Amino acid sequence: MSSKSSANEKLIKLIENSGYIYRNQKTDIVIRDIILNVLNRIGKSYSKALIYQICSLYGLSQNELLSNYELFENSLKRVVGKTGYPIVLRIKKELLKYLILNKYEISTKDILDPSFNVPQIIDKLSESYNYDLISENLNNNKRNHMILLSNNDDKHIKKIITSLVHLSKNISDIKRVVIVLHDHFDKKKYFRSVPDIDIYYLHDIISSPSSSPLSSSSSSTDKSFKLDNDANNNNNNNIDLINFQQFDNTNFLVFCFIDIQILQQFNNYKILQILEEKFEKLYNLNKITQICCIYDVSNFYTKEYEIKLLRDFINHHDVIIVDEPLLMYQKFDIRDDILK
Amino acid sequence: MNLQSFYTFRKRFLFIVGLSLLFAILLISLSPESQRENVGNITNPISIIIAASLSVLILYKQKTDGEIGKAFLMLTLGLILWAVAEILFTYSEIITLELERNIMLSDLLWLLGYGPLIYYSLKMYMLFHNYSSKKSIAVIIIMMIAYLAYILPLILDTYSSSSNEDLPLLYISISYLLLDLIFIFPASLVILNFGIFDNKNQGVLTFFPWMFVAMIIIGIADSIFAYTSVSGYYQLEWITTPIYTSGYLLMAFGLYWHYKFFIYK
Repeated sequence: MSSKSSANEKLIKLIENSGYIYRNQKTDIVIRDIILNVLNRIGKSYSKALIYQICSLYGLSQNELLSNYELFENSLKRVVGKTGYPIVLRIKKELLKYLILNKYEISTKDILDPSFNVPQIIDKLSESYNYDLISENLNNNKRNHMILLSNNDDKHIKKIITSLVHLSKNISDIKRVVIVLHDHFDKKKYFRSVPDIDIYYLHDIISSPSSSPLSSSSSSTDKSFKLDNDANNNNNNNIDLINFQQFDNTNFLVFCFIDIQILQQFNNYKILQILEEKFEKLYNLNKITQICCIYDVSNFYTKEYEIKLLRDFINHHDVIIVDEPLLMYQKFDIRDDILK
Repeated sequence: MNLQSFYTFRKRFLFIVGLSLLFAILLISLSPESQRENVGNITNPISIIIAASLSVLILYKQKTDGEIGKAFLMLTLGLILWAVAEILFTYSEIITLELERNIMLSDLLWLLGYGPLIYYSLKMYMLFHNYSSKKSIAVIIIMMIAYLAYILPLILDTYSSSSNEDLPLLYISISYLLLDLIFIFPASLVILNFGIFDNKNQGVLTFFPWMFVAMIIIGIADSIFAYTSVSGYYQLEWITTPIYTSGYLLMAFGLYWHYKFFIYK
């Protein structure tokens, strides 16, 4: 559990160090307002004094203290001990009230569960806001090149894929493609009710070069990529995995399922790199292009080479989504940010 | 103030608290026997005037907004009533030299003072200490019933066997005990849950429940005072004075602590 969370922390650090920023400030603002509201109800002078004392005793800024709930709760407990419990309970009550009033998903069981603590409520709130932000991004942008770093928490992935597919249903002449570089891809799980979708199992060909490049899979719509060059030339940048020209100037929706472990094999790495370059080209060329690369990072152990490889691929995308917890990062663009 | 300088301050503060309490107790106890009660009757109003003044200062700085503001308004009111009661009592004891204990205006003020002080203790309990287990509530209730079962018959027996036939004084004395129990109830729960000797649950700034400990001490003093008043053992009344003074001084120190750390200046 702890190694998983440390892997997630490293993943988030990697994203932030690659020039992406987390745009969801709404959760922080809501939490901050609720904390201040609860403390002010006890007394304004008391509230200011308590925050001042915590900050000065532990060398924190007010912003740092109020924008990180766990830091706030821990500092509060250290400074006022058990007398801080009723304050935490009030914060919990206010947060639950906020979730209910704003019609966020929360079950009665959770509300009544005394062990359902404030960080868990915040995670729920944050998840809802992040999902709103992701939906907003999908709805507002006709062109997206996103990477989903998934820990195999299908709940979010399914929701995002469904949203993308749903949006694509309103667009005429759209080409839907799935590219699979994953051993455990389950078509039915994500695309059961999606018509006209071409699925390419790239991994089969890469792992067994002797097999026929045209050997088809079970479904009539399932395809294998045709490798234009032979396997010996894989080092060569001229490899043409698929005739991407057919997608030029068309509406294009592509999902790419990748297991991070395959990047360790040089051929896979090279092919994926070419794929991402092709996607980038299409992204710039087509009016409606939704490219969603789903990287399975459940076996990501934050080894140095893994981090390096992943960073190379992350940089191709304009939006990064991490599940568990659900977070969305966008490429930091100075011009955009100044204009905003 | 960083953590290191805070701990240095806390150490000095505790030293001053200990020294002040020791000084007050020794001052009364080591006075000549004939003067002990008078000395105690002077230290009592002085110590509660200090507490009431600090409470007024806190109220002025903190204002009456929020739940804590209202609680401190009540505390100030209660302490002022008690301070006036103490001054009147001292006046009657030292200036008018009333030797027998009679019902006085000071008793009325003391009884009136209980109202706001009970409000304060219950409010503070609800605000910051409302996490008592059913077990600790049961323990405190049993202890209180046991205490009443012991003290009430004792006072009644003493009254019936003594020469004192002042029935209203008996009622007043019993009222003190019963009212004490109301604010001793949350105070005892706080102390029981607080774990004064258990660092795990204490906060850096809330390591000692000053006001609640002071209330228990005042409650103990009231029990002794009720007994001596009813029994007519006036020569033993001085025993209560160092206890009252210690209770009031602890309140004053608690109020200073609140002023220092929980008032935004």
